[in-house]
Amino acid sequence: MLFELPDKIGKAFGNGTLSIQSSKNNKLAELINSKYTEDIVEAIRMLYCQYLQNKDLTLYMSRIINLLPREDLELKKLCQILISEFAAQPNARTSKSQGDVLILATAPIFKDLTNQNTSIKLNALKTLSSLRIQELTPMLFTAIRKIQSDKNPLVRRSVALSILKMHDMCSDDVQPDDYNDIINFLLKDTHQTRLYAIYVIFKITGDLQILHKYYFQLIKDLLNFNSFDLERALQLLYQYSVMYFKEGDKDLIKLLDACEILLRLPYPSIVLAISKIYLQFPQETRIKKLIRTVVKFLNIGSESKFIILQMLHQFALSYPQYLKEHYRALTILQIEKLYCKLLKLEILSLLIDENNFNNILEELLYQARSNQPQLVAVAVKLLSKTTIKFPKFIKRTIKSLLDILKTGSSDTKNHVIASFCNLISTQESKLPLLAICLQNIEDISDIRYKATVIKLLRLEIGQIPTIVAESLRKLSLTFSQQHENVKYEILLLSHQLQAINQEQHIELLNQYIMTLAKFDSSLLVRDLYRTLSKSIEFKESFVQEEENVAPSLEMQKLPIGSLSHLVGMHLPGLNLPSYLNEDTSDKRKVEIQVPPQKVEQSQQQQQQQQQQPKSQKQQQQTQQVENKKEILKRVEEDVKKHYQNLDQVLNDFFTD
Amino acid sequence: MISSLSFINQKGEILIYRVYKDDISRNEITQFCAKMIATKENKEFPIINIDQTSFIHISIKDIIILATTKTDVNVAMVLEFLYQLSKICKSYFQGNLDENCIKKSFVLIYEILDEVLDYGIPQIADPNLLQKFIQEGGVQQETTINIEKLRQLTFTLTGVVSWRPIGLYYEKNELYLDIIESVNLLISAKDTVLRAEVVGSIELKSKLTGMPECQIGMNDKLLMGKQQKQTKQTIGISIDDMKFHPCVRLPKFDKDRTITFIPPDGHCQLISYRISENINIPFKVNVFYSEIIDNKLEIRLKIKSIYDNNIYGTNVLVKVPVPKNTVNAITATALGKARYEVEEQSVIWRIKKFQGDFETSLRCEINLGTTNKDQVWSKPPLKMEFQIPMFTASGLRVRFLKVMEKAGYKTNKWIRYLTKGGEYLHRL
Repeated sequence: MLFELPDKIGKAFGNGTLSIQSSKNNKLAELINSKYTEDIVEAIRMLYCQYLQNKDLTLYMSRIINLLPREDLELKKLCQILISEFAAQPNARTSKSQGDVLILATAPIFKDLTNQNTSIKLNALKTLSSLRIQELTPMLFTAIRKIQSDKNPLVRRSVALSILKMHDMCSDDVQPDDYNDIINFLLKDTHQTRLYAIYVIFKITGDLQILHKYYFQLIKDLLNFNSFDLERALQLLYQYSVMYFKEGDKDLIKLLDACEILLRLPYPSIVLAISKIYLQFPQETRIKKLIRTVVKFLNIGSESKFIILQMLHQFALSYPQYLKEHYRALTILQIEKLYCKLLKLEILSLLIDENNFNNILEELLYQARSNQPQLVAVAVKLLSKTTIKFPKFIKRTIKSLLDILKTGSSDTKNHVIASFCNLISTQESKLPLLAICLQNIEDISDIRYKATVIKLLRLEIGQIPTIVAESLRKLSLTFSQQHENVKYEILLLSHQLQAINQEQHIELLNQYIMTLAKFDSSLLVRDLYRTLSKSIEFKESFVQEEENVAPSLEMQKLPIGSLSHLVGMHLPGLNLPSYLNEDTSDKRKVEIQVPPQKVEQSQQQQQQQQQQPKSQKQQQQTQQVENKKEILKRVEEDVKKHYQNLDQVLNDFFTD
Repeated sequence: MISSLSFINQKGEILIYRVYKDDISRNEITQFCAKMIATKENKEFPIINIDQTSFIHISIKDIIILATTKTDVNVAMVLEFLYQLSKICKSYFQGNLDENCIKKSFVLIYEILDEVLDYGIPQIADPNLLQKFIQEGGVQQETTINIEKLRQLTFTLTGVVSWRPIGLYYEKNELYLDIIESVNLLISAKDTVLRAEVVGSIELKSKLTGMPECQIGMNDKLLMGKQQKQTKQTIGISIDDMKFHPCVRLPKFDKDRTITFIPPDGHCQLISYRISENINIPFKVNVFYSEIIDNKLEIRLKIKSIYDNNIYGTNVLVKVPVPKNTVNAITATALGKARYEVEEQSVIWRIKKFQGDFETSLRCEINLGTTNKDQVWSKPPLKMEFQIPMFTASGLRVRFLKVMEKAGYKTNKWIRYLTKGGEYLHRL
């Protein structure tokens, strides 16, 4: 939640020469009333500083407005910017007195609209449209009508934008009749002004029917726009195509073809915009080309790399077959930022198959030796994941993980042990891996993993009672220094061991551990001791670490590359209009049947096939678990009864 | 659409704050600064979303330029715009953009912000054109008063050839073309090539009169293939990915792969390309690390240049990483100089001139200090930097460069080739 914070804006300027202490205020008043332009400019500089510090400028506004008719261009411009910034402040919008001050400013600015100098005219138009004075809108539209046919295209472009501004800022007073004729006039203009006019219509009405007429013209103009306008044009065309096209439409293909040429431009934003269109109407060859182009941007040095990698990550999930050939371009470089490295690793792990396994595995192993702990954690985790995916290579991975275990830092060791624990649960021969974990149990600093190792040991107790006994003896030596979760596990282990092996030395060991637990500082341990000492068999709660399912369904719905996709939530502005099934022109009625994509089908089949053996395994596992459950059920009931009784006793005690 | 723009310093104090839309409050920006920038939390991520407001930022030296938005925008476009804005500011401050510059001329930045964005939509974003509108010390009087000149300017801005003004004149017409390639190579510890690519660019500097149309021909495989029947020339190279400056006529290139364009005045990057097949790797490196005794390490390094012996590599630098606890290093080499540099934590071997088809070696004996054995040396990769003039790792050559103008003047053309070491890494 947002909360009030001391306003730091402008604080960097300190209380130095530009501050507004009372003595300085006099100086400011002196300067702003001076005859000389330099002094006034200096005064305005000071006012900018005050504005930065969130000070109220109402006092000075009338003087600034008086300065507007002056000939000096710089002064005029500075005053205009200051007025529009003043108008943008929330106070100016709500307070009547401040709003009245702004009305005073309109007369000189209206006069500037008729100036011959384009620059003055442009600035006047910008300032007027950002004043947010509702009473002025009819007058402003009249003034705009006068300059809509200005010789200068820059002014005409600005006219379109000022309509949007006024519509957004004073929406109650602006009616479609006010601006329709202006927009219609602008639509007949050059390519850039036309684009702005269409954009304004779309922003105001949310509809793009107007593009029926200008669709082909806009596609033709695409190559003439600069990068920012081109992005806007593509955004409009994307919205239009979503609204009015079905896959395979003849006119749609024209747009897709035009986009293909644009993929050669060096701007990631354009590729992002095109990718939206391509992914909306996926075609195998085009997606392939798109991925190729996106990969090319991996060398980009700017923050855009993050977006490029996010896109590739999504591609790796939905179209891994096309991205696989480019996996070499994803090798991690040392100078890259951490988030790039992590994303690259994720993508690589998604692309892994039998052909590139060696290289990607090598990359993962290399990164697992890095000195960045986060990177190591991810690399080791992915290593164990890929090993589960490709059981063929398990020996190699385990060997490499062992190497890392020998040389790695303590953090690394924790991660390796964690991945071993993961592996143990998937393997049939669990003992060798368990032995490795036991060997290193002293070095594990993360309590979660330590507890897990003991838990795993407990599960194998029937097979290796003597080893368990020996490990338990070692653990008992450092019992008091352990974390309560670890103590908890040790206690359970000791209890279970005693249950199956009732030799004297085991009984003594158990007694020793129980005594330690009895006087332990942790409530949890003491509680467990009490339960165990009443020789009620304890049911442990199985909490398996849930695997992260990479993208949620919500995430997949969001278009790749959009800001909403990057931040993982639906942002306003993304509201896609629903498909309109009406046919917009006779020409577009011709339907071209696109053959269904074979690759995707086969992928689905593969997935289904993969799911079958999985489900069999799962059944076996569930059977085992159920068997165990049955045995433990009785005990559980006993425990429940015990606690219910306890509850009753306590209730009685307190009610009394 | 961008809702607001701010320039922020390292402490999280806001130097410039300009709001374009009403959907953002000062408080949100202040909160972002206090939370994210001052505490350096999550600073690495360029996009942060707090309470439906997206903060998109880039860092340039000690300055953070932040754009905020509440709607779904094309983030790459916003980032591009921010970089362009920093470029514009730099062009006003002689290539610098730091806190002092901003504090000194913040009013000028306000003026720039007023021109580059209108209601959050990028307007004029070309530093050269913008400099004609606003000059340091305020709006340029001369240009703005001269209405005819201004009209030309604005027509340039909104016209089809927005990158080149009308009516340019040079006494000497010159055209410089630099083909600069950087080789990115990553070799694993087992000597397998993990990644090998050439990232190249054709830089253009034009001083030409009028509106000339230029054409470049390269030994592009696809183009050569078409002409081969007629000229029987050798097969060219395959350039897989090319990106062009907007001045290049893309439909024409798509049709017949000829590169025609009206060049922008001054310097620009005309083409950038990436080649990942059949690369001439200029150097072959072999490294052997061996531990002689506990505290002594021996490194043997062999480098062989694999280019014609009439070409010379210059400023060759090899960074051989050594463990943190290195006390000193004894080096022996026949070519260049090698010494241990503490700040870099590596032995740096510098060779001023490296002839083609030549092999040389380096032997280092590293004395290590005693250290805690728990800290294992992470072995960063060996890095190499070099420059080889008149050589292209991709084999790219410009076959012709034509300049066509109505006036029919003579143009002096210069073409240079240079190959640099980009990310030339050898893992240990």
